[in-house]
Amino acid sequence: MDVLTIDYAALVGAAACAWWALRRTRYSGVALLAGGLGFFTSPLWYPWIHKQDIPLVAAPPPLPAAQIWAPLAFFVITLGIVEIGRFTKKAALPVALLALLLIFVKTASAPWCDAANASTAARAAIGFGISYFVLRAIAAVIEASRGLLDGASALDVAGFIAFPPILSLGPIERASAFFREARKPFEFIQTIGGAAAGLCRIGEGMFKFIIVGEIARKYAEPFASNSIAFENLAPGALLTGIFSYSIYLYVNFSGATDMAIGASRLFGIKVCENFDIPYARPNLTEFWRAWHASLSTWLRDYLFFPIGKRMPRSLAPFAAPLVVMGICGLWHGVTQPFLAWGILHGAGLAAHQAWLKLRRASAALDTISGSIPGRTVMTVFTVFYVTFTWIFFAAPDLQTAFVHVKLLMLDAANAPKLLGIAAAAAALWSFIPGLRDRLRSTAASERVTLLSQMALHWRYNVDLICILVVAARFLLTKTAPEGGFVYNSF
Amino acid sequence: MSESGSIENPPGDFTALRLFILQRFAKRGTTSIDDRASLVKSGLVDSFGIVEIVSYIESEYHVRIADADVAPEHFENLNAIRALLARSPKY
Repeated sequence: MDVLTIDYAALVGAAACAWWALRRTRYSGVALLAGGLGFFTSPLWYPWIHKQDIPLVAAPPPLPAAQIWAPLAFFVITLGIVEIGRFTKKAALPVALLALLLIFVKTASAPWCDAANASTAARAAIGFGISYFVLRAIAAVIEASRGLLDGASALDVAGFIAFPPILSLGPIERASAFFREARKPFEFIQTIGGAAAGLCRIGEGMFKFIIVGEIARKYAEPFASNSIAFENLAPGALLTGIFSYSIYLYVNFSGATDMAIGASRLFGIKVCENFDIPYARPNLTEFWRAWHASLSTWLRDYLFFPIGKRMPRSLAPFAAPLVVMGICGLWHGVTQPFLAWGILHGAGLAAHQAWLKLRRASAALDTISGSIPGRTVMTVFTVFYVTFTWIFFAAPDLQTAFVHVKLLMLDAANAPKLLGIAAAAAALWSFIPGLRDRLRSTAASERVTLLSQMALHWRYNVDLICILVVAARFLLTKTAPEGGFVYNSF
Repeated sequence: MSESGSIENPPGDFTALRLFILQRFAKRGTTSIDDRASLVKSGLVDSFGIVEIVSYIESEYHVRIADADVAPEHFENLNAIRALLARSPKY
């Protein structure tokens, strides 16, 4: 079952109702676990439900057994390993087992793997979000070993890992933060306001994901499908494709995250934010604080800190990001282009550390870098660098990536005007700190939750327009959105 | 900048670390850091900085900082770092 369907919305809604009914009891985890199990068993009941044609939802084709049972089996194994860790309060073995499970799935799903059954099973598990729930499980085991989950039962922890809104698309929430939210006292006004805010956030996410995503995808398609070659390169085609792909990835992922965060509010739970206007950042370090922040925080806490502190002090700022971002690349898929993408980001982070050292050594450089024009130039550079790295992210193999790099040079020479427009747009975007800060402050989870205040808050009125536009799109076209959630394939 | 004259608080075992943070992370022209001044949330010290401080503490003070203690909240200000230093076992 795709997570961005009416069916999944119904499943989340049913889990939310059950959660509110059981919230004050010790069995509240049952509601979340049942929601998660409903999702993992969907290959069994989904075809039966879709015997009748339902508008906007295509009837799924029959599935092989590995595809039906693997997601459920991997999920149950994950819960079992977490329980071992919770019971023993020792993290090493369960973390190693969970890491091995993820490594198995990632290698078996790689294009070069020729074990057909393992590959089918692994790809099915990835489609069901194993990359996300295993990372949440690892964090839960580590937190349990540090005594941070002492008040939580096995059912609570299983319910957390199965929490339907974020189950297969993130953010990678920490168990301790989740339980703090789940146990806070019930306040009727705040809860109703929070749920309304959640619905608005879902509308905002749908607008990004569907409306903006469809437009960006259209322009990104020639690049993303790797159909651009030397012989049919129209001036500007690759530049347009790459920048559109950059926008597409952002609206696709952050739109889906908005929906997940909004759906969590229907349970009265605020989960962590995952995006904070990442393309308006003056360096790669800040970019990673704003792009898929729950993953970068996870990598920081459980890989970067332990690896970095074991390296010589002079080596750590340069070697540790290369290692960690290399692993981050492989988390997306065990292929050479993903590894190259990760290493490019690691090298960029290391280069930023070297740049900071230069800044500290030179008063003039420090003054220029801290000025508005300096920050603008750095933001444009960061946007261009991140966009360049998407070439490796999107390529099926290194050869295609290098062809695209060569084509990009050619295209930039052929279409300097387009390059100039992209640079000017990025500069203008980073040059309006007032607008950026306003968007950032309202993009955060702390918004007004009283309905009377919401009616007057500009952001919620924009959300309402987003919902109307999405509704109009469905009524007029009567088609499901194309493309799906990109990060569900990692 | 002389080692003790640049520090507001009285010198002691912690002085070397205070100076290290001052010289390594503080903005240009800063001559002192208050014990409660924010380091991480203010952006002075980032993840790379935390790793650098941990390495410095371990090598200079001969203590072992546990992985569980390498977290931004333990490096938020000099007081938090002092508390971390005090509870970390010597080797």
